[in-house]
Amino acid sequence: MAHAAVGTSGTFMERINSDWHEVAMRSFMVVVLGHWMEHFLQTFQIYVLGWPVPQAKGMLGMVFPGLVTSEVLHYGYALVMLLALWALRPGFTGKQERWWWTLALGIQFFHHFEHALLQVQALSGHNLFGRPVPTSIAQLWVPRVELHLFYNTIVFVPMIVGMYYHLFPPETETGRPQCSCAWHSRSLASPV
Amino acid sequence: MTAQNAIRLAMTVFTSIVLALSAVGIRWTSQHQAPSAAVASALVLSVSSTFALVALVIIWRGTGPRQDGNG
Repeated sequence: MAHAAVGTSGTFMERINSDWHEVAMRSFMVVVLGHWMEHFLQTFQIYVLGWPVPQAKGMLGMVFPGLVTSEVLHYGYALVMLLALWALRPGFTGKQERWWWTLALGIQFFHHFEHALLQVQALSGHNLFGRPVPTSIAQLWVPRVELHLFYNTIVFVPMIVGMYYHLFPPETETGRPQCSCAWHSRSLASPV
Repeated sequence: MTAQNAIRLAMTVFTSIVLALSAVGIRWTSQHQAPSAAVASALVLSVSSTFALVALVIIWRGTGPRQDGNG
């Protein structure tokens, strides 16, 4: 299934953007979709089942309640997202796919900054804006559950558009992919 | 069904979940949150829905993929 242009040597960064890009992208998507499922379930518990917000902890949070309240975990996930979006970006060689992926990276940078603010408050014990709990900038106006749904959506949407163009490059796209992600590269690599 | 349409369909299902949850969320927040918070929630959930709809339009309106040889 390997693409003809895919290399088999180089640094770690070069390899995850060439012959390992497809596997890295799939692994990243498993993590992202798993995270989404938690948020979907949490909002379903609140909006549809009518559970009180503090008791709506998604699926893993039901088993490990500390996961939902842990700022370290939330910050860690935001950091993983940011690093993965940055590390996998060179593999997006087409103009459109790179533009959308970069948009997701930019939005995630601010999302990560918001979580960093929360993390600093949790570690220092001093909350900003005179609030009783750690509070991010956008949380001054928007409740946390809805804000998380918002951030995750506006990061994920440009990601999936970028991935779509990466899988199915338009006819106008002239970038030369170094990975095996694009669907037509599989046809080329398949035995006749 | 082509692989491209299968991917499009999967993305559409996912987006539909986002849209449905946002719609239910706007209704729920209007009933359970203070007016100012409810307005802010409705705003961000509406923006989320708009983003999701834009993605759907982009994905479905696109022309076919580049064909390198026998692709």
